[in-house]
Amino acid sequence: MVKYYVKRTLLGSTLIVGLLIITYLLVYIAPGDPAHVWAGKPRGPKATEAIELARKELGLDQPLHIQIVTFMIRFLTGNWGVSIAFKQPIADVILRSFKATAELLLFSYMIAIPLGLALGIFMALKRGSKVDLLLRLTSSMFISVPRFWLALIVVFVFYLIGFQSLGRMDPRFSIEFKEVTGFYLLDSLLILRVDIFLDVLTRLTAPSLIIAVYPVFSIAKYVRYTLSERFYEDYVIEAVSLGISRISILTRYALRGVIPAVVQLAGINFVYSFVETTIVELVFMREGIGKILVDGILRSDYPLIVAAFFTVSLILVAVNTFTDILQKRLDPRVTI
Amino acid sequence: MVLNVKKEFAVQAEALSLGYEDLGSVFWAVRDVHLEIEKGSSLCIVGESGSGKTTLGNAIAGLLPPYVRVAGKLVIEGVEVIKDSRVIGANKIRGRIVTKIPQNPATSLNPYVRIEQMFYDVLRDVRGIREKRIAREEISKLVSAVGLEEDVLYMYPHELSGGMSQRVTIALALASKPSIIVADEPTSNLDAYLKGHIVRLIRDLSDKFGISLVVITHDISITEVVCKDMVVMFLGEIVERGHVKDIIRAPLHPYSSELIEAVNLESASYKPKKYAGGCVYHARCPHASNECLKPPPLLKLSDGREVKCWRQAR
Repeated sequence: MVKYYVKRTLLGSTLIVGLLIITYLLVYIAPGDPAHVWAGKPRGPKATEAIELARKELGLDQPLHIQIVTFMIRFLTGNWGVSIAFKQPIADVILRSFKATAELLLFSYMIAIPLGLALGIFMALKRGSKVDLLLRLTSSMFISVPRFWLALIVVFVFYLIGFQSLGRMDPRFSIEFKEVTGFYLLDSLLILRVDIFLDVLTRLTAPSLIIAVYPVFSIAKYVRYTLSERFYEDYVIEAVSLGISRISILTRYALRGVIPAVVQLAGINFVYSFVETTIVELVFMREGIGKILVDGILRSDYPLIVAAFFTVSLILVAVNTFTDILQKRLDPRVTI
Repeated sequence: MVLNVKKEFAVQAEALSLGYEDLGSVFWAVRDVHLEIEKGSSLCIVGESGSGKTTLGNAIAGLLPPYVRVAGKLVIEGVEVIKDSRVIGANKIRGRIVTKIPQNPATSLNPYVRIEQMFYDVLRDVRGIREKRIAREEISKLVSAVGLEEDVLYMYPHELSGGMSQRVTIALALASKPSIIVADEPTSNLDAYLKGHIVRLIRDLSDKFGISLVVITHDISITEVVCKDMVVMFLGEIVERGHVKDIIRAPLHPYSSELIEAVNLESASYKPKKYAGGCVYHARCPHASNECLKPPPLLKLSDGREVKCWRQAR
């Protein structure tokens, strides 16, 4: 078992090293002088100086493989440099954005997984009925509808019913608010301010609902079909014939067999949702990794792009490794 | 002394038909079956695949799927299960009065929990035993009754051999103290050596606990060991009924003879079966005549034997 964890972690690490190399090469093969690119394509009197600095930072006078190694060592030791766009250490910018994105993603998955499961179970129990058909059609519709469009509708609806959904917090709280962990929902509770908590909660709910749309309905559809099949499996029929109660059969027999795959599916969806946060953060004017990536690209802030890209990849590799291990742990037939 | 001994029945079927809806039309898997099984007795239902024996067994076990079509009447231990073309009491008998020993023991155990968990589930949900200590004692008794070590309780189903999992399913079937056990092809996945052991185990345990036994099998060779009585089914109809010994010694219906020959792998070339009215066995019968185009009546002979064949009517 320990061997499997080591193996998975090693595989994940190899992926990350590979990703770093590819990221570096992308900067290298971008049109123009890499130093010019790395310095953010500067213009003006100080441009030559900045390009010279970048040339030194990248070690462009060294052979390529040495450059890559230097780049990786710098990166893995946490020396990520200074953002051209934000004039701040990149590590700080990334960490702050990451916390905002993590808050959004975790909150939306806390809604999405239970809701998706509940909806899927309900459809499976009502399989073949009109309700089931209606819900299946609704699911397909929501899976395919463009989320930025849905996001605009949600902003509008929240506005109509008198809730603010843009940004992370009402600007008038920004003086009283103290950042403790960087997760606003938690921080507002730590400073014992219910009014701020409720404000943060409503502003978090709107984008979370948009992010949750895809995982909710894809999990629901998946559970609907796999659980329905489970009901006809030998071990479920045998449990019925032994007189075991319906609720036990549903939870410990039929559903138990679906959960490992749902974990895996949620992991894959999480990767997709990460991409989706880019759009959602822009529409809802929130800070976050997606917003940083877009800002960085618009301002040719290559050091920031590379760092943001690297962070996203790191998280995705970590999530996939975690769900793989969890899936295996949940199925006793798999020896690891 | 009043000699008014009323026979008590574990199973009573009157004009029972069971079918499945298929694209608007109904396919009748079991047609017009009359069957009584006395309490504490043992009956084998024999026939090839497609004869309707499993459907009949499922009806007795209360396991008919929701899309089933029914006609006639079925009473299990005094509980009306099928009446007026409706399934009304399947959930009252399932697990409480009847349990089933499955055909594929390996896939019939919950792969995600340890063996003991299934026992706890049955004891809690059917017999209301919530206290773990009492349940544990009961489980130990059951496990030793089927000749297993207690270690098996802490194992997962995929760690068991075929014979062990079949013993576990037998112990599970006994756990709810049923009055009837339906065993659906209990030996079809076992080798010849285990077959004998399992069949004797089922027989001995049902004798010991006074359980009525219904064994569904295509294998006529196990019937003599496990059952006293036998019905032979073909294409959804009972074609012969009697004591196992009598039928094996002198089968009256040509299909029974064919089944007995099949054990010795002597059966003649395979002919497809198709119901086209008249005697169900007509298309395959070596003795078929014009008479067989009419459905034969069920003849009641001496010693409880019944047969549906025009040759016996003459």
